[in-house]
Amino acid sequence: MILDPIVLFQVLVWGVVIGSIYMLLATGLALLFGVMKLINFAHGELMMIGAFLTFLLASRLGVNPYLAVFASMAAVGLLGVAIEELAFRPIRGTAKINEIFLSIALILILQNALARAFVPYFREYAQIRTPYATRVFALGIVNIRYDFAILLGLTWAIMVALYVFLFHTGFGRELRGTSQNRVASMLMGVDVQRIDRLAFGISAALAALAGSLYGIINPFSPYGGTLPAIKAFAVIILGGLGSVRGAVVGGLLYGIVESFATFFLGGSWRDAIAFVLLALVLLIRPEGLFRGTA
Amino acid sequence: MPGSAQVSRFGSVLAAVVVVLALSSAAAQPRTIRLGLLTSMTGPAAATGEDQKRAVTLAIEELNAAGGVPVKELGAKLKLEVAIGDDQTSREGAVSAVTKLIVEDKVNLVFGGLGSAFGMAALPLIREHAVPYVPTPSTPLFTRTPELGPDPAKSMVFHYQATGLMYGSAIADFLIREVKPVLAADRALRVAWIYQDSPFGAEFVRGFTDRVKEASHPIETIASERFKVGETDYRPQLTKIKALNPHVLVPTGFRGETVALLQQAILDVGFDPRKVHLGPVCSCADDPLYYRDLGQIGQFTTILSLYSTYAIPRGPAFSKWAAFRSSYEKKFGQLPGLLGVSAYDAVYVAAKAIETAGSLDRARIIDALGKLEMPQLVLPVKGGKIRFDPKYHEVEFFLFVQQMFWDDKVKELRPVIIWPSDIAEAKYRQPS
Repeated sequence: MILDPIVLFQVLVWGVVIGSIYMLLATGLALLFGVMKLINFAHGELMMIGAFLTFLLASRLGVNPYLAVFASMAAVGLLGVAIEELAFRPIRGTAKINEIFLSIALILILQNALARAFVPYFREYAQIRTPYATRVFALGIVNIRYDFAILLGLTWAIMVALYVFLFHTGFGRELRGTSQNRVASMLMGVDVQRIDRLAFGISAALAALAGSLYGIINPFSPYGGTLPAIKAFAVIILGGLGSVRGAVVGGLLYGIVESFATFFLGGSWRDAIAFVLLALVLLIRPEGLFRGTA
Repeated sequence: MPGSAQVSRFGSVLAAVVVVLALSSAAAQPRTIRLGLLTSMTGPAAATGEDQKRAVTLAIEELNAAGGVPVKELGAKLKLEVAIGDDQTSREGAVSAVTKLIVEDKVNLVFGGLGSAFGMAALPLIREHAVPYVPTPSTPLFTRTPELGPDPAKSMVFHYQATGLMYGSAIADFLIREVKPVLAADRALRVAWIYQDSPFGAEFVRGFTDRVKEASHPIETIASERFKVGETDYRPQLTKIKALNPHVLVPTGFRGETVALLQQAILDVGFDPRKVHLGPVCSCADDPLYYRDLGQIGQFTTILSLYSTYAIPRGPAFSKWAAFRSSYEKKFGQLPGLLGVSAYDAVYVAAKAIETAGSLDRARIIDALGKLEMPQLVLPVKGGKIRFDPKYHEVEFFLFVQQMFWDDKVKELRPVIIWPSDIAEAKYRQPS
């Protein structure tokens, strides 16, 4: 067994990096569940659309990928609002199964639409190239690529911005209120439909950010969003359904456990071991790490 | 005159019956040869299917322009046409695609595809309907797994490009011959594998291990790490391998996986190409996009090939490459990949088998494939003749290794053939 601290630190870094992606995805899902009590299974497809848009802006128009990320977030955020308005709102209040089937249908529609758009540009996989792709700096005992540092910085900057939005703005207060008690919020004059749109838009924009950052460090394909999204679902269960704090801690924890499991047990255990962790946490704390609301 | 009216009416009816019979007889007579391309037009391998579709279109146009395929039994030359069965890059998709090809399209022969998983899913139906089947690049499981069906020698599967075992074996020979003297002259060569967790990847490693044992090569396999199909983050496993200090890292996966493996190994995990040789990677990566996507960091890595996107080895065995490449590029505005080349050849193999059979009867086509002997097409074959060996129904290809160098003019990697010595353009180079 390899127990060299430098090697283990490097494995920890890989875990934190991939965990940050899960964290972004899970935060969007937690927000959506908190406000709308909705599980959007097509979250991974929104992630891939975000990656694809950033890829197009960077590779076709020469935009710096880290600037393109914001355009991609805005576009996918608007797409999220449109999906909420046109797809989920008409069936709101009907049986929960309708929402589930609708989001499964969205997976197929978005995935195939993306695949149609994808193939003429490249085959199977694409990767977003940044101007810093080959540059590294020393982080104590290991060398780290600039892209990883920017990824972590951008992720945390967005998370801080989200925190400020949720806890220090009127919209944020309304959103948290709706998450805690939808009826009471309505009675207090909150336009909950507007809050639904807002939650869906933020959730989709976070998925686009996760996809773009994922596409910078890993190759992606139109079908590549499904597995990260499944892991993000596991993260929100692990962290506590509807809890943004749980999504943040759960996402990072999941990434780190996955990284060490792969290192010590091999790639075959990569997905399984993290779900073992999920099962263990649920056995001890059925409500997840953090009970909560957005 | 009632009598003459009756005669006239009878004559009309008789004429109509004759016309109907003639038409129905003409309808029963096949007017084309229908080939069924079973490949991935949607799903993660969609681009591969597109490459195969293009190459097949080219081959069929060429054969039809030459008048078609003579079918003795029908006393005519028939044109070819292709029906496509999209396996959706899934086992379930392969079953419905092959059902469509056999039942709806009523194809005379099925061919194509990438990877054994999908073709294997289609195999029970192929066997049930006794359809001749010529799969393109995939593991030898099709033809070397007795429990899958009847004796391979009696099987209707003729594997045009069996990968895996022979590829792993060639990698062992190349490393001993070219890399060991440079990196581990006086000790065993420490080799680490990271490969796709599928029959495709496993057969590579098995071929390598068997060859090392059989030839008593001084090679020590220090790691065999597997990754799932579709996985794209290999850093934890690469970090583990690096800590074991290998001389060689052999990454084995499809094109996109291979690019990511090499980039993550060098850029993120810090494999130093001056100390560790990276390669040979699988020939299935040999595609114009591989050279473009890998970029400058791919310098000095190697690739095992049987068809090169850019190099053309010396000798008559490779004489058709330039013409094929030029026709493909002229028609489609881009260069073909190995999978396309393989499907192109398979159309010619099918046409030759049907011509030899002199019939569209499936049993006779299977028989003709078993006895087939024709000059090699685009892909180089050992001995220059395409034959399906009687034991496994496989064609034995000629493999070579290329090393990558950065070309400042085109700003992309370009290959130089370095093994085997009879076609090598240069010696293996270790960066310093």
